[in-house]
Amino acid sequence: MATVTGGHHVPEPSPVTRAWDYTPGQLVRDGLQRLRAKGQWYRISLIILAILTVIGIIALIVQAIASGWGDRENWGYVAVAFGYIMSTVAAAPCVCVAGRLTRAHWRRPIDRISEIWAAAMIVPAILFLLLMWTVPNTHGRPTIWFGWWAAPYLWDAILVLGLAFTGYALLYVSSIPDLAIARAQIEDGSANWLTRKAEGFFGTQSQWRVIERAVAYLGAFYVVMYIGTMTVIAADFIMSLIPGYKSAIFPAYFAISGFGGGVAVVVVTASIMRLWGGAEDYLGREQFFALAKIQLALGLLFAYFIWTDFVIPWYGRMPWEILQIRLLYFDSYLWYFVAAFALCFISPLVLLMWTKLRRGRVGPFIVSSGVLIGLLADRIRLFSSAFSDKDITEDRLHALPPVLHPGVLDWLIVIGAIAACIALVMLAMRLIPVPSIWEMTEGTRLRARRRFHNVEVTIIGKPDY
Amino acid sequence: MAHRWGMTIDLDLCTGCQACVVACQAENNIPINTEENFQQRRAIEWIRVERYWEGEFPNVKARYIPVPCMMCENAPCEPVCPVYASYHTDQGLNFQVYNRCIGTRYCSVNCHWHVRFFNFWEPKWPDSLKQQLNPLVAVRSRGVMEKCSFCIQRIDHAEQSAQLQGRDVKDGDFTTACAQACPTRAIVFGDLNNADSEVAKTVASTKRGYQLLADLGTNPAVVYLKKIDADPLPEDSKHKYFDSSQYTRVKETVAVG
Amino acid sequence: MQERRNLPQMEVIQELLLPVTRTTMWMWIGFIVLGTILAAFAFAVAWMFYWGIGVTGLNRPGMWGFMIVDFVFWIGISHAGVMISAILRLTQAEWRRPVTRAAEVMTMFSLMTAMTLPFIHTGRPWRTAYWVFPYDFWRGIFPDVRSALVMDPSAVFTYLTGTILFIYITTVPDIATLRDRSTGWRKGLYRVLALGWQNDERQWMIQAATGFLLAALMLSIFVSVHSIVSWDFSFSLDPVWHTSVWAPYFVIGAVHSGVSAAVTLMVLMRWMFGFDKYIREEHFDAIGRLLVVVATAWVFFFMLDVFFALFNQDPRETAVMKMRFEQWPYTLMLVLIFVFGYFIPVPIWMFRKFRRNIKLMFWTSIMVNIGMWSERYWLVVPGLERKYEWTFDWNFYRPGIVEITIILGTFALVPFLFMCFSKIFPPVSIWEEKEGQNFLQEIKVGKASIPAIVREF
Repeated sequence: MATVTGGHHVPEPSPVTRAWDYTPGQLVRDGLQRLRAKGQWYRISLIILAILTVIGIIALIVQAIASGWGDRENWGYVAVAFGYIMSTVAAAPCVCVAGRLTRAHWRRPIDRISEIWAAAMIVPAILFLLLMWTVPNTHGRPTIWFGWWAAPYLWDAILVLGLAFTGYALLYVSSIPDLAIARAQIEDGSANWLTRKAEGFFGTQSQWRVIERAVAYLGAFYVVMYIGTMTVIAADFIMSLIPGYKSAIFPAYFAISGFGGGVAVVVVTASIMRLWGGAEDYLGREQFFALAKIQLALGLLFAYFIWTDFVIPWYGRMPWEILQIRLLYFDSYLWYFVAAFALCFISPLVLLMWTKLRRGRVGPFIVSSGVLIGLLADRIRLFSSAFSDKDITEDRLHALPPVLHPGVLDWLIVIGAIAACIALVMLAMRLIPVPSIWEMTEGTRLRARRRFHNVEVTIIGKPDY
Repeated sequence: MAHRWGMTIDLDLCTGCQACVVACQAENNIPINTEENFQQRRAIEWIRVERYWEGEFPNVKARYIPVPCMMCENAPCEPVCPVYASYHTDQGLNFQVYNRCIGTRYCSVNCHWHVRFFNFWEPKWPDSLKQQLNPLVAVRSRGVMEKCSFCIQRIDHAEQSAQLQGRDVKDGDFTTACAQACPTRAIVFGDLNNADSEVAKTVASTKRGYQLLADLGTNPAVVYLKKIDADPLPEDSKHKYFDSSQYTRVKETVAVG
Repeated sequence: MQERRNLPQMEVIQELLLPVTRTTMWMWIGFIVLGTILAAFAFAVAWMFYWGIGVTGLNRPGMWGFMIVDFVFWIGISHAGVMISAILRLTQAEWRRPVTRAAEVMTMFSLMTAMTLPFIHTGRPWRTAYWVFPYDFWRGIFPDVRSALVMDPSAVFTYLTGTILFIYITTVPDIATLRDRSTGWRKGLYRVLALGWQNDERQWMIQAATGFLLAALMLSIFVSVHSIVSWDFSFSLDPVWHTSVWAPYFVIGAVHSGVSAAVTLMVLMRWMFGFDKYIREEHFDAIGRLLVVVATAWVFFFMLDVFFALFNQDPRETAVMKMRFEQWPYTLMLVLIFVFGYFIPVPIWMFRKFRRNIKLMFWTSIMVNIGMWSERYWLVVPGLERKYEWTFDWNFYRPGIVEITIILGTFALVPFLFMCFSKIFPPVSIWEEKEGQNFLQEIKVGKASIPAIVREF
């Protein structure tokens, strides 16, 4: 039934997110299902992931023993793993922050899916601590720190560890009301240790106000922290390791592509949750439509920032600028760049441009999986060109540095790190209700179907706080 | 083989007398630069002599460097012109077409040798000088850019007379006004592609040669020969007026005198 | 949102047509004062045409000055239009309704004003008009598309065309309203412009679809316009200009100054036309919240620009940065950029109480644009004054009286044209306001009644 009201096209939002019509009881039952029981597939996949993680750790140790700590180029793919997780997993919680800040109604079912990825923040933090020693101090080379004390180590560490901590805090604070529900609902003593932390929450008005404020401020702080951290990582781990590379757009590009990765993580997780996580009624077209729109916008921004990074040296034509774009775009990492550009920009553009695909649930999933692969290629391009063998104290690039292609151990390290993140998130889903019960309940209250002249429309309440 | 006109400027021979500037002014119909023009920083000098001080009183040395257009191979001023007023000839000359120019001044903004000049006012000459204008050179109106052309009228003339005699242009057939006027022969003009020319020989043999702002990768056709300083100032007193703490690279690239 | 209330449709139409039907005293004063400044502007431009660019303060190598700075500024202001009407329309922000038309009109006129500046700034404007625009093909020389100065007018004129179309499409229903209520020459004009609008369903469908399509298409133009304006500078090799961050930095700066200018305009419309019932405190609240985010993003890009100019400690860039940080008047401008552009307004906008204070919003928005004008000057001019190692040629630019008059004139031109527009067409979209009234709903949750809206799609 498509009708026109006041000049606007109101298509029927179908298949709808059926959970909007659920009673609070149903929402609670769905939210607690994984806390009550675990399935067989859950156990099998967790075991596989654990094995991959262990293999990754072994590969990391073998690599370190075989090549020693000293050479930076041996750590190139640890850096790739770190950068990749920072620009996917660490960015995923930003999606729910954006939704909450703009008070978007569609965000509610995917809020917890997005912020639960903060549970994996320990992985990049550990990788960072390993990598920190491969970056030389700031003497005699370009740096954004201008002789600050203990730079870059102390400040980088504060940012990365602070981001991880903020992520955990955000996840914990926003799940307090749900944990309180779990504590009250699971009587047989099987309630997990985390629910006991929410013992003091009874849902009084002042407690709710504190939770709402804390979630909003922690979220905003997380996003700001994320941009700051990505800027600093881009500067210290990439730009200052490529002589003469001072493209000021690069840190912003690094952060923006990270946001794209974050949205992709959320879309892929949501698709998996819809198929196998029992969240089919929660994740309707509304959610995928909105996320796909963001994915498309971030894909466009990806291309825009890449383009500005490219076109300025292209027009500059100075010898070291020519070397720089040959290194990053043409000669050395051409195919990595092509893969990244095709999967992070062209595929979102040509596929998600069509409303039909955006409204579907397969299109966004395919595109977002592509974005995740493309982003890996992109991070390989950036971190390997930074970590390859060259004299970083030169003021400009004088020759193309050698290319660092991944070996078997490198792949095992990268896969192990990713597997560790997924395993951590799966463990977190045993502890924290997914989807968020309180936000869904709030959503069902603020939504209604009503007759508007001669059509039925959806009404959405916008509380003015 | 096409010509590649070029120039060598031996800073060891340059005395900073500015004869080249005057000769260029007369040859190329450049309007008289009044004191007001200089104060407004709008003087037009297709070749200019920059003067830098080195050291501290009483151990002061004046350094001179004549700067004509560099005739870059990859000139930054060319692709920025919206109307192709600034274009590249097949002889490697970077040329300005006055008739096309609309005066956006982007070429001047993107010329890092500062050799492009804008006609802020309608050019004027006193009545007594109107008869001395060079008939082979166009007078530029206000609102257009102009710059050193390596005395293109002389190049054309030499090529035409060589053609009439059925031969190629020889080294020494002609030279630019600035090179002709230089009393110490610090400025030498010629064809860099002709291995027998004086400039090509100098460029091939010298150990003092360098190009201005060579790191921009534009490959200028003007090669400078470093000054041989018999009695150099102590290193710490050099480039006082450059603020040497900030501009260490100035010494390498501009290396005045 | 307590101020929201349902108004009878007749009242909405009558009140929003006020500037068209009546000329208030403030409008007369505006016309006279702005007209006087415009006369001076016209005289200054004529003077410059007659004598040449010599009457300005430009020199070598400081070939670009006040007029280019002002060009960048007005292009920046023009970004308010799309930001507000296209992005907010696509994201269904309800508070856009009273602002869209005014912001779009401001976009149109500031684009026109902006394009005047580089045109009169050329050495031979008559040649520019005759040979470059429109392109002439008989000489066999197509303009050099590699030059940013060719891309730039193309982008700006595309934007202008898009904006005019957009304004027109969204004004057609209001023109029909006017047609039904006017006599004389106005009746004829409106009848032609209303394109036979009869308020039927098919027409609304076409109008809505066109509006959305244009909004989506204009988003890409929106980004490209100011990017290309920034490339006018960063395609050159000048130290501090030649930096990749300028494109998004200019765009976000443009949104910052443009949306602030929209706030100024909203306040002025409230004061001049008495639109208190339509431009309400909640709108200032929402736009203030948006501005906090935009301003913070702008400061982030500003910091990127500064940090990575100093990053390599390249003496060429350091020379310019040293001048910007230590030399008069750039020190003052730096203070204006930071204090007026961010550190006074943003903490104020953080508080709901202040966001709903009209006077405070007015002065903070003016402040932002003082800061943003300084920012454009701070970005553009020093790069030429300390160009490369030629300390002998290092220079200082001081604007001439002619340039100052021209700049003042542009600040008079945009509001003057806006007032002319609002004498003919309603500056607040009547049909969007009525649509918003219809969409007003309420949801009961327990005892509380929460304002709600109809989802548009």
